[in-house]
Amino acid sequence: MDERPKSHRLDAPRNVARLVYALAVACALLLVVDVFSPKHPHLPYEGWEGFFAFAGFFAYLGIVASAKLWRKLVMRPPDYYGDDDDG
Amino acid sequence: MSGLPPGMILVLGALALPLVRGRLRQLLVVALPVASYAHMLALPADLSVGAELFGYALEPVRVDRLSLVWGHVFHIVAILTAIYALRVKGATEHVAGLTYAGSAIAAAFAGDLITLFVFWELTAVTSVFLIWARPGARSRRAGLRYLVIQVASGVLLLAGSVLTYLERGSLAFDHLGLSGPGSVLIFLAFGIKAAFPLLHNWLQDAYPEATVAGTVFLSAFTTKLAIYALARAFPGTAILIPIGALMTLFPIVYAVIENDLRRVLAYSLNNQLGFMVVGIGIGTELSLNGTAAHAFAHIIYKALLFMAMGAVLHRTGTIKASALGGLYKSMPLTAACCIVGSLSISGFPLFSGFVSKSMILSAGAEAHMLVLSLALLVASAGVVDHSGIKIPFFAFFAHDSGRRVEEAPWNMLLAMGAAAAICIGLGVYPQPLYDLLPYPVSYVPYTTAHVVTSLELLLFAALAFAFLYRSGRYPAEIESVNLDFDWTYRRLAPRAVAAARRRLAALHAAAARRLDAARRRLLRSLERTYGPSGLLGEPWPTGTTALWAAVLLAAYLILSYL
Repeated sequence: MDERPKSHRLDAPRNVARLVYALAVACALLLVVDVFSPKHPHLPYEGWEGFFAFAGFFAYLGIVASAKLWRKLVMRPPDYYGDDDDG
Repeated sequence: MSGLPPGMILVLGALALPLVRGRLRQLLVVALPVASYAHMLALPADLSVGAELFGYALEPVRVDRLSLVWGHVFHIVAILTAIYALRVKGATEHVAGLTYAGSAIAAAFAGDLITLFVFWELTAVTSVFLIWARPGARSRRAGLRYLVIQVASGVLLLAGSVLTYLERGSLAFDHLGLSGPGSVLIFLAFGIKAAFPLLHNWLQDAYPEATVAGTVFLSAFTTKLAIYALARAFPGTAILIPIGALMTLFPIVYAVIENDLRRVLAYSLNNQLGFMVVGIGIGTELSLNGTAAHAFAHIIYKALLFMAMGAVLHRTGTIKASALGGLYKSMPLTAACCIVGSLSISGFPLFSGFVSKSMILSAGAEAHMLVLSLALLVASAGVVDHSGIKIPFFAFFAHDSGRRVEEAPWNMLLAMGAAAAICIGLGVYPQPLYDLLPYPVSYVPYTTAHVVTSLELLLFAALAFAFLYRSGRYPAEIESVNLDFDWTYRRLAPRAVAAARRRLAALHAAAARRLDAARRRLLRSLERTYGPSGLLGEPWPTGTTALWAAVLLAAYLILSYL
C-alpha cells in the first residue's frame, strides 16, 4: 500500500461546493427544457410545468421529515434485542 | 435430459462440491450454473412434461414465456454470484447457494402446485445455511426465525393446494384469483415470501445477518420467486394494488434511519417488490410486462448493490454507516460499480431501472389511477434517498472514516463489473429484455417528456438531499435498533409468554399455599381429636372404664325393672 497521504479532489470543500452548484444548474436547465418539451398527459399533473421537480424536492423533504419523527418512536439502543455479538 | 427440471443440474451437481477441493471446486462452482443455463436454453420454448403420482396429474416442467423470464435472470444472477463467492473457503456456502438457486429455478418451471411446494420448501431449507454459515449467536437466531417463517409459508401453500384440489379437482399452477379458501391460503403463502406489509419483517431481519456472498444469493431468489408466483396465479387481483403501494412507501422511512447498510438495502428491496406487486395488481399487458422486466432488472442491480456492500464488509469488517465513509479513496472500482447500481435502482435514464420501472408507472397512469401514481412518485423519490444516495454516499464518501483498505478481490470486481455492464446495457439498449417479456412490447421508454420528468424527479430529490445534508438537517447515522414488526415476535410475544408464565406460576404458588394451609388445618384438627392429648386419642385409665361399665350395667338393671 502507498504510505504517502494522497490528496483527493473531494477532500477540498471548494470542489464539493462546485458539485452542488453544478447540480443546481442542471436542475435549473431541466426546468427550462420542461417548459418547451411536448406533453401527452394521462393524469392531470403530468401536464403541469415543473410538477415533477416540485414533487421530487418536496417528497424528499417529506420523507426525511417523517423518518426523523418515526425515529423518535422506534429507535432503541443497539443491544436492544440482547444479541449484538458482531461488533 | 428434457425431462429433467431446469435447475436440477445445480441442485444435484452442488452435492458433489464437498467431494472436491481447490481449483477443481472453484471450476465446478462456476461451471454448474453455466451448464444449468445451457440446459435451460436447449429446452423447447413450450415444453410441458407431465407425470402422475398416486393418481394425481402433475406437471413437473412447464416452459412458457413467463417462466423463461425468471429462468434467464435466475441463471444469470447465479453465475454472477458464484463468481463473487468463488474464493469463499469451505463448501457450505457454495452448496447452499447453488442448491438454493437451483430449487428457485425449478420452482419457476413448476406446472403444478405440488411440484411448486416441493421446490418452495427446498429454497427455504437450503437458503438458511447461507445465514448460519456466518458465525455467531446472532446469525443462528436470525436464521432460525427466518426458517420458521419460510417453512410456515410452505405449509400454507400445501394446505391451500389441497383445498384448491378439493374445490376444483385440479392441481394445475395457473391463474387462481382470490376465489375460495384454498386460493386465499396460497395467496398468503406467496404474500409471506413476497414480504407483504406485516408479513415482511423476516427479510430485513435475516438478510443482513447472512455471509457476504450469502446475502447476495438471498437477495435474488426467494422474493422474486414469490413475485413470479403472484404474476402466475393472481394477475389483475385488485387488492394487490394497495398492498404494493404500501410496500413501496413504508420501508423507505426505515431505510432513511437504518444504520446497517445491508439492512438499508433489505428495506429498499421490499420497496422495489412493491412496484412489482402493483404491476401484478393492475393486470394489464403493459403492467405485467413491467413487473417481469422490473424483476429482471432489479435482480441484477440489487445483487450488484449487495455485492458492493458485501465487498465493503469483507474489506473493513463492518457495514455500519456510522463507522464508514471515504472509502472511494481505497475502493474506487467498488464505488464506481455501486454508483451504477444506485443509478439503476433510482431509475436514472440510460440505466436498467429506468426502462423497467417506468412500464409499471405508465401502466398506472394509463389506467388513470391518480392516488396510486402519486404514491409511486413519492416512493420513487424515496428510492433516490435510500439506494440512490445513502448507500454510496455513506459508504464511499461522507466524512472520511480514515479506513484505508485494499480494493475488493478480483473475482468480486469481475462479478460487480459484469452486473454493472448488464445494468448499463439494458438501460441503453432495452430491446433484448423487451423481447423476453411475456407479452408483445410496444412501449417506448425514451420519450422527451419521460426523460425530462424522470430527471426532474431525481435531480430535485438529490438537490433536496444536498440542501438537508449541508445544512445539518439530514438524520445523523446512529448505531441503533429501529423497532419494526419483528418486535411483535421478538419482544411482545416472548414477553407475553413470560408474563403468562409468571402469572401461572403465581397462581400455582397461591394454590399450593392454600392447599398447604388446608392440609395443615386438617392435620391440626385430626391431632386435636386423635392426638395424644385429643379426646379420642387419650389413653383412659382402667378405673374410669370399669366405672363407666358399672354405670351402664346399673342403668340396664334399672331399665329392666321399670
